Amino acid sequence: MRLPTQYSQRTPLRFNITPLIDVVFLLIIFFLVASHFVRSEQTEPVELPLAGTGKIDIENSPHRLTVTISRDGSYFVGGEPLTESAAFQRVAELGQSAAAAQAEPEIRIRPDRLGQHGPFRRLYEHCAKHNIRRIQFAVSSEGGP
Amino acid sequence: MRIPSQRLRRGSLDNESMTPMIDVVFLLLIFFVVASIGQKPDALLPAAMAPGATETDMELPPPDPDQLPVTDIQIRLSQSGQRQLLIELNDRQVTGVELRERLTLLSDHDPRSRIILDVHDEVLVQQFITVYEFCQTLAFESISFAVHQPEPA
Repeated sequence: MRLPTQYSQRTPLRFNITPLIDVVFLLIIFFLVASHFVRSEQTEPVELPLAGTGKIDIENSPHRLTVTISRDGSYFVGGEPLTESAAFQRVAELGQSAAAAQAEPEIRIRPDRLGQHGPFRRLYEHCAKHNIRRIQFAVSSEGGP
Repeated sequence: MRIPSQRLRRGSLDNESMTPMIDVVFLLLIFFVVASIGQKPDALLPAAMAPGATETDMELPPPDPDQLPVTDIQIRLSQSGQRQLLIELNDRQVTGVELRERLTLLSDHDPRSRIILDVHDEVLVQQFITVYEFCQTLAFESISFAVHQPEPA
């Protein structure tokens, strides 16, 4: 005769947290990678001019435009090639939007060190005409003077 | 009567326990590798512009830079036919070393002197930045860029 067991075979409830840790880390890594690609500006690779006194500024301003000027004098905004008039139009729009928001606009110019000064000069003159006073020149400190 | 007891056999977890640990270790590795990846931010040289202040075709009398005090210092950069950089300090041609020496003297005497950079279009950006950075390091209070109006057609 088989007697039923008096006590129920209780399997202790075990909460395995290992899959939870896996998922959490996967989520963190996903958002890290996603924000890296979203935040990093697609910039045209240029050889920045060398300067030893450049300062790194990680402040992010919503009214900031980064313009890259390649060696042949072409303008790039966000990795997108623009004509000179289109680039200047973007600068003007930045000035207008910042003025409407009563904020200070900022222009970052990334010129190629072996490019000519002409396109560079026209850009910062255009900025001055549109009352964009905060202009910064991107430089490289590697092998600086 | 002896009631057979069923021992709870503890399942051996030896073969399974390593896998989650390896997963977590690799995830930690990937996390720190990805977290350390980042673009090196560009170094920046500030160039604060005065609003709407453009000076066109400035005609400065060429004062002798050796005679102090000098309030306006015009530095003209251009290129010669052999694509060499020509530097003129108040209409007097100087070498790069002379420019540095004279600007250092002038900044020591009067840092309120106004630097006016007149850079021709064919000059390389690196050459302009080198001179501009040097003027900034000397802490001149005002560095302006000369603007030329386009000639009417």
